[in-house]
Amino acid sequence: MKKLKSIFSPRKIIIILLIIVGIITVPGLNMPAMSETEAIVTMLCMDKQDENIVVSATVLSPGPNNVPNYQVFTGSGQTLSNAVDAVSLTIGKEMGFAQCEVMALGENLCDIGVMQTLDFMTRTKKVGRNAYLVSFAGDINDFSESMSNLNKEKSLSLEKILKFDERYTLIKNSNIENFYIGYFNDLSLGVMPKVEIKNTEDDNAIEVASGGQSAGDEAETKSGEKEKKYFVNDGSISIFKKGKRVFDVDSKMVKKANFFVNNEQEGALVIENVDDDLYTDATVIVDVVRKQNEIGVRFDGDTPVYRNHMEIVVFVEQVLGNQPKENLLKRNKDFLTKTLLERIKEKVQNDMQDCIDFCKTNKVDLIDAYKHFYKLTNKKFEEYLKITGKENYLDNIKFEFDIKVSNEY
Amino acid sequence: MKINYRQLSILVFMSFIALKCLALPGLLYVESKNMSMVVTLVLMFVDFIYALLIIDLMKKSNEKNILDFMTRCLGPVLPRIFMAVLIVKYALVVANISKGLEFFVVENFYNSLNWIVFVLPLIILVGFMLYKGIRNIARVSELICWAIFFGCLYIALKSIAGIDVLNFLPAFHEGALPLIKSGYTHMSWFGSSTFLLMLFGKVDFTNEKKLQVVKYSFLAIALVMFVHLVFYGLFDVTSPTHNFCISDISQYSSGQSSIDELSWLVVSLWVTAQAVQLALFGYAMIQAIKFTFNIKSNVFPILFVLIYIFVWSFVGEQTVGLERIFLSHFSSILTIFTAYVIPLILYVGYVVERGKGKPKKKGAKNEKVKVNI
Amino acid sequence: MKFNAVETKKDIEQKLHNSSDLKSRTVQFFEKTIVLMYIADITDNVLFNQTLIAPITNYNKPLEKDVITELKEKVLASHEVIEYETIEEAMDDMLSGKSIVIVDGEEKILGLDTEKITTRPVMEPPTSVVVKGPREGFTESIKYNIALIRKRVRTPDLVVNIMDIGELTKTQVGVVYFDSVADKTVVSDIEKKLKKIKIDGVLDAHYLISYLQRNSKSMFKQIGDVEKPDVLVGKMLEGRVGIIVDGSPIVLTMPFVLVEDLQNSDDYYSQPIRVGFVRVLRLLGVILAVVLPGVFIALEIYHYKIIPTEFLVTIMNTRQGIPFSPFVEVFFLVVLFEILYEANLRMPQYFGMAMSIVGALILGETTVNAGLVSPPAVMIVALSGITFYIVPSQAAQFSLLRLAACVIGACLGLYGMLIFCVFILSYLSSFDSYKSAYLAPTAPYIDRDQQDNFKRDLIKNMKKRPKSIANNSKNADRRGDENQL
Repeated sequence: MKKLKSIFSPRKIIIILLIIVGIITVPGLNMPAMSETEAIVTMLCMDKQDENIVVSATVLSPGPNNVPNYQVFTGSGQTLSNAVDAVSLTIGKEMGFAQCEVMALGENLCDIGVMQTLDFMTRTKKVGRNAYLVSFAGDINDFSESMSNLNKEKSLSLEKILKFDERYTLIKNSNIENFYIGYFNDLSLGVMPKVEIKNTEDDNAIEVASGGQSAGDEAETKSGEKEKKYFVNDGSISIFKKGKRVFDVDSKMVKKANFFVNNEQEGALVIENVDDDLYTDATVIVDVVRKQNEIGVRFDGDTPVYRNHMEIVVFVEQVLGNQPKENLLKRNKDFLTKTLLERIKEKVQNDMQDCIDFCKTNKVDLIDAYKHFYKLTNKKFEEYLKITGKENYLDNIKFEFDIKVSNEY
Repeated sequence: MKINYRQLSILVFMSFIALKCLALPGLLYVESKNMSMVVTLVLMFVDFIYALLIIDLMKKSNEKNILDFMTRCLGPVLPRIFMAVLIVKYALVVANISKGLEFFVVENFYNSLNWIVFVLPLIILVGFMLYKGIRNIARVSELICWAIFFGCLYIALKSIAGIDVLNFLPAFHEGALPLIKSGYTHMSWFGSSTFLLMLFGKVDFTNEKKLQVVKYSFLAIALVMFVHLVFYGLFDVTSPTHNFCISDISQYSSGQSSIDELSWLVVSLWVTAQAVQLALFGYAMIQAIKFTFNIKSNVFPILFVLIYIFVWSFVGEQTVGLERIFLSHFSSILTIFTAYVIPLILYVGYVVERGKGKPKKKGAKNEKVKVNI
Repeated sequence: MKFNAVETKKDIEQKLHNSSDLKSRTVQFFEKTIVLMYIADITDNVLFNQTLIAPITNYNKPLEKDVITELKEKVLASHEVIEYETIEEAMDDMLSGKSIVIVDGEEKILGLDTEKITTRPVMEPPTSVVVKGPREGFTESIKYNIALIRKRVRTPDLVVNIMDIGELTKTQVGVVYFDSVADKTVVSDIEKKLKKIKIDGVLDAHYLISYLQRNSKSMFKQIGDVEKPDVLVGKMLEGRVGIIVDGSPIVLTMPFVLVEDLQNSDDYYSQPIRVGFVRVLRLLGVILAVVLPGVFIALEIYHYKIIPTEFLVTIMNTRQGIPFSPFVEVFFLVVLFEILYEANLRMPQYFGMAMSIVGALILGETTVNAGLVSPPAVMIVALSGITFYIVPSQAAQFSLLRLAACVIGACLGLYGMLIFCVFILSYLSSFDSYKSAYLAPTAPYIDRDQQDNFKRDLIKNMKKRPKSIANNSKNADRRGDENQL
């Protein structure tokens, strides 16, 4: 027993284990930095073209003076995996998706369904579920080019643009996780911001906004001017049902739907033809500086009632039209006349009604009515759903608006 | 080599948070949906009650170890059987922790990691801690306990802005049955207080601050509940797709593009916590082996436990779906028996034995018994 | 046995191999031959003349008692006259600077303290510099050192127990402690260990460490070392025992807990709020010193995803064209740093300055320019190198740990580093230094001692002696027992 004990003495065991660990792991001492063996993908675009999946990866590479240099590589294959491998082969490195901040999905891919793609990318390729999701219209190569143009300006990135976007659209967090949450919910409804690609010659004004000096991606136009791809983000969104894109919602309707979302989103309201003591047939632009929603749901008998109590704080930003010069001497709060207040209220109410009509017509719940009724009036709402079904439940809901507009916090 | 009462309380804290902040919340959601927190809360509270019960027995027993105490209360045969069953329970917990740790490390830290590279350093660490004994485990726990607490708290607080309170509604939508079913299925993640059985005679109760165990238990329960609250508040229906509660909530917070650096520190701390928890339940397993087979030396039981961790890691790597054992009837019944039935039998046995012993014993010995009560 | 003065002198000369520094003088005293012997360079000539030669030769009173008694009581002008019964005893003392008096036909030899103390003046020790506070440091003389302690402590409670250690050097080693404060078992344990020491010579206090510490092969020190009397007294007031070695300006203290190295004597002379901040900084410095290069390597090799994208770009840029792996790069720098440190340490001061410039500026700059290493790696190693010296007494251990951390970081990545850190914690937790846990009062946590752990309370609030240090628990009150007073 003593002999056995001396053979199995803890010190010996630890030394033997350390030696084994050392033997196994010693190649690590000569391993290169991972950033040298993996291509650091910061953005990934995917689309379907002619029965093939096309993947375009924006890869981070060292540039002079510590300014990041972004290169776009494209590959295609019958499956997503093949396409990713094709990009890897082009680069000569494994693709590393840990720093991938944006995933852009082309319209064609969105139409056939995106869940398999997202699942593959997050599960196998380990793209973080907090990566931003965006859909785009147009050719994937154009999109990649526009991204390349954008990235050349250090301060601009699609991620930042999408983050800023959250203030104006009804998407709280346009990332993969939220898309998943929408997908797994009863309605299987997903929302994704949508961007479009344009050429500089289409609209020069927006070129300034997208910015960037491009050399490689520039192409000579017929007139000899250099043409550049850039993308336009106007706040429109794509609606997905069961992982497939069903239709897009333009930015105007998104802004209207925005009134239902219970967070502090901003925007401007244009009130036309204001006529009272202060204004003479003026167009007044008011800035919504604060918006607080309180959504309450209840059943009046068998009728579901959706009540939106909203407090808006506005600030008169601009007055268009000929106004008496005395108006310029007035204090800010005096600009918010009783008539104007009424008109703002009316405008908001109309916008909300438009949104509801849109939702009813398109059978899409942009206003989270299902969630509120299901969560807060569970049993009754389930009974109600038995009658109406999940498609038409919006039709019989009674909407009440209680809007309070002021210019005081 | 005894530990003090504060260290005992910290070990209770460590055992309570063990296994609770990785796969459990996601797994619970499959059956008990948004009421999963209730299951965790109830079962952790039961664990807390049992921890108090076992500590009470520990204080009352004059024996040097649990086996002597069991023998006094239950006779010579039952204790050996109980010990053998307890070995299986501890083995299950050790396997669960090591598997959870392996997944956690591989998924969060590496693109791929050879299982042997994972398991050997762990074996060296756990082996060393086991060799040095419970006091060493307790001291290390003392060193990292508050770091883990504040780290987890930080991660949860950082992500709290993203939670949607509507995710917790409707309450008890499908009644209590799914919750009971879910609790039963995931029983092997609970029963944390069983390790206390192996600490009989190893705790110094002088300078005992009575509320310390209660304080640390409540802290553990509060921490776990808070982390779960943020988890369900953030993920709701996607909860089952998240295997690593503590790291996933930190990734999600405020739309970060990647886990921020401080969160990594906390995620790293969780690895250390898992390693210490592994040593703690490994220690309990060693004690149970020693009592069952009447082994005096520590070396062979330690070797056995280390080989077990090694083999489990290898088999777990090769056999797909082996971890389903943690969700089986076997593991649920085993946990119920070891964590909730054995301590109860022991308590009843103790009361009966004390009742029998009272009229027979006279004089000083009798007085001593009274004092201890 | 009666000594023949001339024969005894010859005997001693023979035993000392007729060493040329052995001097003797023969005088007559009331018809008795007296031989005075001493070792020339360690004996104070003036003192020798004043205490021995002059009194003996000038004595002109009648002899009332026997010569030895008369010499002892009336003639010799010394504060201490020792009687020896054997030549060996007398010789041992003579070798430590005493002069011996051999009276022909007497049974005893007399010894007088005529030792010439040769030591440097009391100075501020270079590694324990304070901004405010006492600047006296220990010297190489045990007598001076005890005097420095006595100067601060005027109590009968202070015990100084001196013994000779070293078969050849017979070095004086003193155990100092407060009788009412120190734990008796610790004192007896230390004394027992000291008495058991079999060694040719003790040239410095550090010779004793391996005999006194329990885990003698451990790289972590388990015995404290102080260079200043105020620090020693402070530690003794908490119950520690000091060991003073003649010839060493370092005094060993036991029991030792790790947090002592994060504390500085300055801490007790500064504002408590500042002290707490500085101590936490020191701890952070220690952690950075040990793990930073290892973590950096691990991040580069395995976990670049943790690195923020902007910083990743910088790293990628700077690593372009570097032929070595991150480990080799950092390891090269760490070794370079160690070489520079060793060279700098032993160089004359004026060379040292030049060395710093060559090392820091020229070598650093040129290695980066030559494309051997990247600037972030230089920064990481430099930062780690600087933070070592926040706790100078542990720098040697930390530098080895840093190398280990580099290897582990490269082989196993962050997971390996975490396991390594817990292993170190577990290893340190397993120590006990003379009944005191090494990581006390943190692990085990001792509530009372938190007043002087990572924070420091007001001195007036520190009413009890620390519990984490083994001391006389019956006398735990720092204000003293009123009944005793």
